[in-house]
Amino acid sequence: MLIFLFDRGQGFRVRKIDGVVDFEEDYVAELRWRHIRGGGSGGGGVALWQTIKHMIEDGCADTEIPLPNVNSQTLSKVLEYCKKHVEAAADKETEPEDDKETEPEDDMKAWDTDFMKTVADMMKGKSPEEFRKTFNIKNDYTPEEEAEVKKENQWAFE
Amino acid sequence: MAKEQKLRKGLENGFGEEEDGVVTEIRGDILESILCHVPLIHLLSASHVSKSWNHAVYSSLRHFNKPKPWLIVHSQSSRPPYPTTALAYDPRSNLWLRLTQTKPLEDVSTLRSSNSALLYMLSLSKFSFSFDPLHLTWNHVDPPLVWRIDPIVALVGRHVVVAGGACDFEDDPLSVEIYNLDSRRWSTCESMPAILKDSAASTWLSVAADTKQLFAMDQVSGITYSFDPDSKIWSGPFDLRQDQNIYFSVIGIFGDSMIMVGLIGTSENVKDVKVWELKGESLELRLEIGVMPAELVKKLKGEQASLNSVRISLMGEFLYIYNPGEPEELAVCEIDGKGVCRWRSLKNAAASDRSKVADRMVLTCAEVGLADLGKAVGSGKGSFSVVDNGNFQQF
Repeated sequence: MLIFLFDRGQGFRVRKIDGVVDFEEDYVAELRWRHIRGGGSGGGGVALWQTIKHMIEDGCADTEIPLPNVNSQTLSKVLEYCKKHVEAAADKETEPEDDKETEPEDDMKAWDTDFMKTVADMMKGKSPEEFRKTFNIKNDYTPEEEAEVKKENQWAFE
Repeated sequence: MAKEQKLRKGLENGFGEEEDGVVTEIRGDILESILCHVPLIHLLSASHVSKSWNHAVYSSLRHFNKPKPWLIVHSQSSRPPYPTTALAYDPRSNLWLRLTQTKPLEDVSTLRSSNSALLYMLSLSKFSFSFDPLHLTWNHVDPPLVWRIDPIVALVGRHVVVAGGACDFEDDPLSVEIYNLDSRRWSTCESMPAILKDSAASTWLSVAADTKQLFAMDQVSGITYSFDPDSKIWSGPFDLRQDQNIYFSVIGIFGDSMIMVGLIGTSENVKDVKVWELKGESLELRLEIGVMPAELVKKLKGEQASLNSVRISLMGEFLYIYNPGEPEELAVCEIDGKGVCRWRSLKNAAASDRSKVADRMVLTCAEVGLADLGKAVGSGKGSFSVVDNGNFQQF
């Protein structure tokens, strides 16, 4: 089970390298929530991840989260958590000596890895068309290019 | 304040709908980081999703998680018509795959390999060999003049060298023939040095071949000679062993240098399994680069009272070591840029199947990239399925 956090533009980003969730505050209000069916969580145990997991466990359907019904309080909580992280990161820049802030960063790192792996699991065994459907991707190949691609990719899925 | 209002409104209306037609995509560095967790075999399909995904797949393979050499375990049934199956291990993705050849070979004889990159079959009527990464392409040519049971065979540049392994007492056990891939002709060369008379077969010789020459080492004595197919002349001997307590050793090519794996002590009491890198004109620069952890040595030895021999298969920075008597356990050694060995143990998925115990097993190693997978699938020559805990996950 997985929730994607996306905004309209490029505000929200998950970065693997430094493990910091980085989004500009201006975009917070515009955070969009997408839900996509996926595999297991594979550990983690981060506040954000936990909150999402609780949402799932708290009586929502087992393969999909009907988002309009999600308690807005829960969502705000998650957003609050994200916001706190941004602030924590900003604080850390001014006070790099503060050891207390390293813990949530590790949490975010673990969450990131979890996120990447879960999405990666969703990419297994899919045809290009299934990829496009699942991840909402526009096929930008021209028909000629597509034919060329198909010639190279007689990938039979059962 | 305005932000909070906006947020609240959003929460009430529910997010996640595409009401305004805005397409949200995973992209950029996020996508590349995700793709580095996706097995190579699944990236083939991902690379054909869109132009930006194609770019992301190749960029992820370049920067995040590069393809690593595959180990391919070919098993051949001992019953006619001796069908072969292949399981491949992809270390980048830590995944075993079943590789199915769409059109199985006809007229199969015993599958053999005396060096990591080349597979061959030799019968009275023909010599078949394959050196493409996934061994989907086979060449069938006339057999060499001298009938051989267990020759050493290796690809050196554009020559296939076939040496020794003759069984008939009338034939010279040391005879050497080379097949030129361009002229498609066999020619007879200088025989192997007489000192190798009793060990001139792939059972006793370890072979390393680069594009210019072939090295053959007597696994027990360590005596090594080199052969240049252009001049057709043997040179040597080289004594590559520094440690006098080595009782068995094998060699392979590692980049511009040579790798030697040596068993130290006695076969009943193996003290160490070590890896050396050999460099220089006559391989005189020898550097010990790794010692196999005792736990792995124990695993290789298995239930047997002694460890008489090991075989290796290597390509790029990957070295796979196994005991031909107990092929269930593989020792994997990854040699990094600084020449440091990282060890781990790997269960041989092909040997875990009990019904296959009687099968003959041949291991090869190959650099397999996305293009090779695309070619295999696109040409219709091969298909893949993922082996998941002994079960095949079909797709």
